[in-house]
Amino acid sequence: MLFIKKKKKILNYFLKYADVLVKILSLPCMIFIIYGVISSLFFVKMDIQQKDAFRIIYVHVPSAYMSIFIYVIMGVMSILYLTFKDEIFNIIAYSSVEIGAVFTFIALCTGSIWGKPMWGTWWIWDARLTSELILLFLYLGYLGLRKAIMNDFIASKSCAILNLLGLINIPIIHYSVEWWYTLHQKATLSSRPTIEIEMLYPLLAMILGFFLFYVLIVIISVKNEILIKKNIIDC
Amino acid sequence: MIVKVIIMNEILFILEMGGYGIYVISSYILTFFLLLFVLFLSIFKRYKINLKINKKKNYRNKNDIKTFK
Repeated sequence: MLFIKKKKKILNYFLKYADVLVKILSLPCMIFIIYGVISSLFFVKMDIQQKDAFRIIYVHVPSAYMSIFIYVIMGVMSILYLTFKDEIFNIIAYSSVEIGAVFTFIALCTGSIWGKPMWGTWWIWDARLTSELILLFLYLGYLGLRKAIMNDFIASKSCAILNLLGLINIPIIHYSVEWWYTLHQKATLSSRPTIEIEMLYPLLAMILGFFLFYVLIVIISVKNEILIKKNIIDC
Repeated sequence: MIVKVIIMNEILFILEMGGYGIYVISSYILTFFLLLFVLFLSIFKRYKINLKINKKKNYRNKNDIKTFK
């Protein structure tokens, strides 16, 4: 009884603060993204070697970070769902899939566009690129599995397990440039960033903007899923 | 046909030679932002539709209770 009450408490807290969070976060999200886009396109100087092509980094790196981050968040939510059996964790994981898949797609496309003038090819079966492609398939697999199973409980459980299995891919993506000899460059942002400070600030702004965008969109998506469940129960 | 070939040649020239210009990069970046905006709109629209359905159901339920009483 106490457990059910606690579950309801989490859901009520979420619904109570969701609208406030959306209102608070939407403005900084817009500011970060607009600052990032304008300064990256018009104020940051051209790179000596890569010319203007390097500017694609301002979409590629944030979306690549987000693709990995969202998958890790989904993994954490899946663990919490399997442990506590609370529906809210499952809903957050499910709501994040679509967004994660879009970010992964953008990361792959922008990487490909960047790769053409730098490496001379759109695509290569490089460790980083291949592991990122596997991540996209994992996202799509999650979506497919969820839609394929009619029983909601079994679907949630199997998706959570698939998600946890897919977590193996995350360190592979991150360390692939160190473990194997790859065309892909090493991490741009680390404890000692190799990037010029002038180029770094818009990049950080874009990463923050993308992160806030994810938070905003996931809140709306979670509310949507809760409404769908409520509508089904009311029927 | 000739125009098509010329445009294709221009695109290939931009892509193959000396990287991209600022306009090409801007258009690429804005395209991806458009994609994110479409994602946001699709989720927001779905939410609004479900909110409408939920409101209608709540209204119907309240009226049902009234008539039952």
